[in-house]
Amino acid sequence: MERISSPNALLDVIKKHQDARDPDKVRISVCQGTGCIASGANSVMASFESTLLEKNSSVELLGTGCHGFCERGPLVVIQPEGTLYQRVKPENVNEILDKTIGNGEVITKLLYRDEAKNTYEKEQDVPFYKHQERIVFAMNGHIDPSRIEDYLAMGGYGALAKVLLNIEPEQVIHMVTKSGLRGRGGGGFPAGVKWKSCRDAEGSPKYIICNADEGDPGAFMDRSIMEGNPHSVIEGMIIGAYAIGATKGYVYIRNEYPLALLRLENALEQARELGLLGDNILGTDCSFDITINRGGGAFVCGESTALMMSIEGKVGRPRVKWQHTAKKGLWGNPTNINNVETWANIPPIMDRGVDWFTSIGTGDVSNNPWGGSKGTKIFSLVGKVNNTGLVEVPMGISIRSIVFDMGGGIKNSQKGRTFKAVQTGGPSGGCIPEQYLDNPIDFDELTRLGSMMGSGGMIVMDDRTCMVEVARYFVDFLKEESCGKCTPCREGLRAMSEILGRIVKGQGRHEDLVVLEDLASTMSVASFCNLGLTAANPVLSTLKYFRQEYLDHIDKGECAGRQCQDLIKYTISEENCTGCTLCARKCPTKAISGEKKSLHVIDQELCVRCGVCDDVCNFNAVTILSGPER
Amino acid sequence: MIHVRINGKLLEAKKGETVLQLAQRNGYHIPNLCYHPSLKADGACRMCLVEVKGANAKPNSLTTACTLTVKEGMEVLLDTPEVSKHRNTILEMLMALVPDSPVLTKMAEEYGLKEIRLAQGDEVCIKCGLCVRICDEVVGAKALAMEGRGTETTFNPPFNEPPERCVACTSCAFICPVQCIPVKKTNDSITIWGREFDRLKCTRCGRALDLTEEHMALMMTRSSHLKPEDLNVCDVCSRKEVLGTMKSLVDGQITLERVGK
Amino acid sequence: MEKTFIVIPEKCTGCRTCELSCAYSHPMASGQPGNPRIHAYNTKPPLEKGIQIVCLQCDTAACMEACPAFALQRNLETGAIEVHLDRCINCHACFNACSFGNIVLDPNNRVAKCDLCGGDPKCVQFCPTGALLYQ
Ligand SMILES: Cc1cc2nc3c(=O)[nH]c(=O)nc-3n(C[C@H](O)[C@H](O)[C@H](O)COP(=O)(O)O)c2cc1C
Ligand code: SF4
Ligand code: SF4
Ligand code: SF4
Ligand code: SF4
Ligand code: SF4
Ligand code: FES
Repeated sequence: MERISSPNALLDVIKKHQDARDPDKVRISVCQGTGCIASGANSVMASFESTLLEKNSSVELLGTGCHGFCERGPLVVIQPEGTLYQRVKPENVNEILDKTIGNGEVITKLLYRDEAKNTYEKEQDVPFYKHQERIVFAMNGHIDPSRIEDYLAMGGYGALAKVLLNIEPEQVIHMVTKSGLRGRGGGGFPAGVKWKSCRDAEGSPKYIICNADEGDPGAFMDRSIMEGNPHSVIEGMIIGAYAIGATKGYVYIRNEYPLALLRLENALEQARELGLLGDNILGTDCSFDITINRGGGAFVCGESTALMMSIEGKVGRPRVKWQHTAKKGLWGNPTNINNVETWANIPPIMDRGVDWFTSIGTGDVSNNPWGGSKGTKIFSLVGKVNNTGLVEVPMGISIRSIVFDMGGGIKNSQKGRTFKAVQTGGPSGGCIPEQYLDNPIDFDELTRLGSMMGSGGMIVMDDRTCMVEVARYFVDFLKEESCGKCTPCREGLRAMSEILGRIVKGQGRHEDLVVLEDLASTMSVASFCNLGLTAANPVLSTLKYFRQEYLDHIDKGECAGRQCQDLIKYTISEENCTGCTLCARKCPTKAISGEKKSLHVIDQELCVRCGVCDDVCNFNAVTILSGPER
Repeated sequence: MIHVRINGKLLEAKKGETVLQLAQRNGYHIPNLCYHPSLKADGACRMCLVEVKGANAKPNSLTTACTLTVKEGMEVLLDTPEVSKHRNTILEMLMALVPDSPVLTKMAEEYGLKEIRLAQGDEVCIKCGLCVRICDEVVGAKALAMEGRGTETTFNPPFNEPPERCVACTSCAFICPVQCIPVKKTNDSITIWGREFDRLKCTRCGRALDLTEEHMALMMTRSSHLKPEDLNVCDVCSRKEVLGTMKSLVDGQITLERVGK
Repeated sequence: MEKTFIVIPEKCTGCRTCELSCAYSHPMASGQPGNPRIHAYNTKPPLEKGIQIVCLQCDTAACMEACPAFALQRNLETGAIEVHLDRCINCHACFNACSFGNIVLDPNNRVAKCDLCGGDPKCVQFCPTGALLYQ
């Protein structure tokens, strides 16, 4: 494509592409996100390509970014009807082309079926999608992320044209502040306030950074944005650069994201070609370009000062901020850093306006950008829930709605599993118990509940989850990931890990709980960076809401979640066992014996407590004993 | 002048100085284990906690004095119950890590830390990072490295092998707050970090100098005025030479004046 | 800096009172006297004649150039180069660098040098023969 000479010309190009896109055209979109590729979307795509070629069909085939419902991948959506096929295999391709495309017939076996065995035809009716509000993800699934034309056809870069034509930099910042957009990377700091102090800071050049380090285990919303719609991040950054007066941008991207990197590099190249990046963007006197930096691999590199150290080529460890990063950041120059999702929110805000954005979410931000949480947040919903994946929801939604409406409730509820808690905010978030399921969640409410928004991780836990073990797991994760610089984080986590390690083995003491609380309180006020300052959340929140579980481990050697290997015993109940032999056949150590149609018995010497027997038993005959009954 | 109150007393602070510097200048003692005046503060040990009020601080916010720049109207409290509670927990963590340090034991006595409730380790280094930073940023030898992450963090020569770039200036051993870097000096050698260096000998009298070939080479990179022929003469021989010159001056009945400049 | 430190070896008897006064006016952290930063040598016994050696506060001072820690700084009032022990990392670079032997080591192994006693040199004050002047 040709270089575009002015913002007006850009509007024309957008119009041209919009007009050329026929919304009623039959279009097959195959998700090409990392999740779906992992379940075989590449061969599904290839099969569509070759079959369409064979049939000489003019049907449009689209390899899109992540649709969010990765668990059910590979996902295929047929437009314009929006028919969603899940777990599609290459051998289904012919059938889809013949029946659905050829005949308008829906293939029932490929539809999503919920626990109650209801099937859903259209993507937008599937409960997982139905309750979402997609702003950042609006185009994922509708565009091919490797084609800038697709983005333009959806109105992409329209916000940039509008800003360059009519809105002064100060006004852009004012709008971002008024929109109440808060950082999606964890801190929830109002983006506009940060932008303003960077714009007002002395020194040049000014830098902006996109934090794409995404280190929270299980979180992949940033990856999905970059893979599915890289131009939205770039457009957000260009608008930011214009508003702040920055001339250079960096995307600091996790090394483990090769696909996102590829898509982003490709998108940058396209944007440069069109004159959207580089010197004199669209013929204006705004010049800005973006460089990609590959992450150092450590979790703590996502922390803003460590990230900047890493970009500067030093070891990524948090450093002392003698002045705000906005004033003295990268190489001592004014720097503004925002998360991927934060940047991707900018174009829709500029495009659709502050009033629209503030109509979504909680609180009142008209006078105070901290007054509420506006817009949407993408959560990565995982754990013991039926539907896992990425959900974009309006701020203020309840956890219940996410877990039970979108998530489809607790997995294996037919086997009696029930909800126990959700853990939000990544490794240093906290666990929220059932009584808060209906609280409207946003930045401040999650903090109030002893957890945090973090990057939007949400792990659902059922009654077979031991909360002490949960705390131990996260403490151990953080212990490995702490950079080791400051005493409270490094040594506090070491000590916590030792204590929790004993408690889950049944070797805890009552004093341990006091010590845990002392350590936690010191870590939470005296650590150097946010990793350490929040690292005690898993311990504090479980101690607060599930103290009895700690006490049971200590006093009775009982693990309520029946998870702690040293405190449990698998047995088979006489009442329920039908002698079907399934468990005996599946037990990896052959610890189960019994004649057909008679009671089976577990040899405790051989049992390794893997839980396979419980998983496979169809009659609920396997019981896990703990505490005195053991 | 900036006005800052420490424990209620109004003090005049210099622009850009830290609360720790201001306090030390005025005779207040704030415990610290990772601060050295020749380095920019790093805020690693967290022992220098103080409570701050005023100047936009959040109510009762705790922060480290070494990284806190003075601001007009700031109020700092050194020994509130909060400060001492958290400081003692941090000290407790360090004493669990390094159980037998006289320096830490003395601090514990001073601040009333009675019991170590945490599992004890057997390390000697409190991981303050000073040795690596001094060698890097001041000495300029860059012989040491912080390696590993989290609880596995170490401050050692790279790969814990005898450090190639070390010059045996022994500065790291000197500033180590818990004195855990052993230095062995014999008449002929200096051994540090497991590497043995030859001591240079005075070219006049043959006495062993507190200097190695490597240290001399590093010193000469600091200034073109430093020459080997000056550096490898001991202080006594240096004075003898001056004495000789002076004596001939005196014998010639000339008064040698030197301006205190 | 109006005053100059004048050494008149002709008047020096080598009695070493200057050394003593220096040592006692520069105690170490422990309170014990330090080592003298001025040296008085007898030319021939018994105590007929002496020669004093003391820091020249050189214009281009080797000690200062050698110090990596900026622990040696010139006092702009007196002109003396002073050791700031709080910054000093005890590398002894200055000790090796001075080609006149005017950096000394205190008994605790820390470096020391003439600081003109901050503008009131004690050696001058106590020299019985007026062989040291500060005027
Ligand atoms: C240990 C640690 C890890 C972090 N990791 C990330 C990350 O992976 N991605 C991210 O955007 N922010 C991360 N942050 C938050 C950043 O420091 C910073 O607040 C954020 O990038 C600012 O952008 P925002 O205001 O748009 O959220 C991390 C913070 C800490 C303390
Ligand atoms: S809080 Fe943890 S991650 Fe942050 S500087 Fe301290 S040790 Fe490093
Ligand atoms: S002794 Fe070696 S390691 Fe220590 S500061 Fe000197 S050069 Fe560096
Ligand atoms: S060896 Fe000493 S100076 Fe170096 S990190 Fe350990 S305690 Fe600090
Ligand atoms: S100590 Fe030596 S080098 Fe330094 S000023 Fe005095 S005479 Fe000169
Ligand atoms: S011993 Fe002290 S004053 Fe002398 S050069 Fe080394 S750091 Fe500087
Ligand atoms: S001296 Fe301030 S943190 Fe160590």
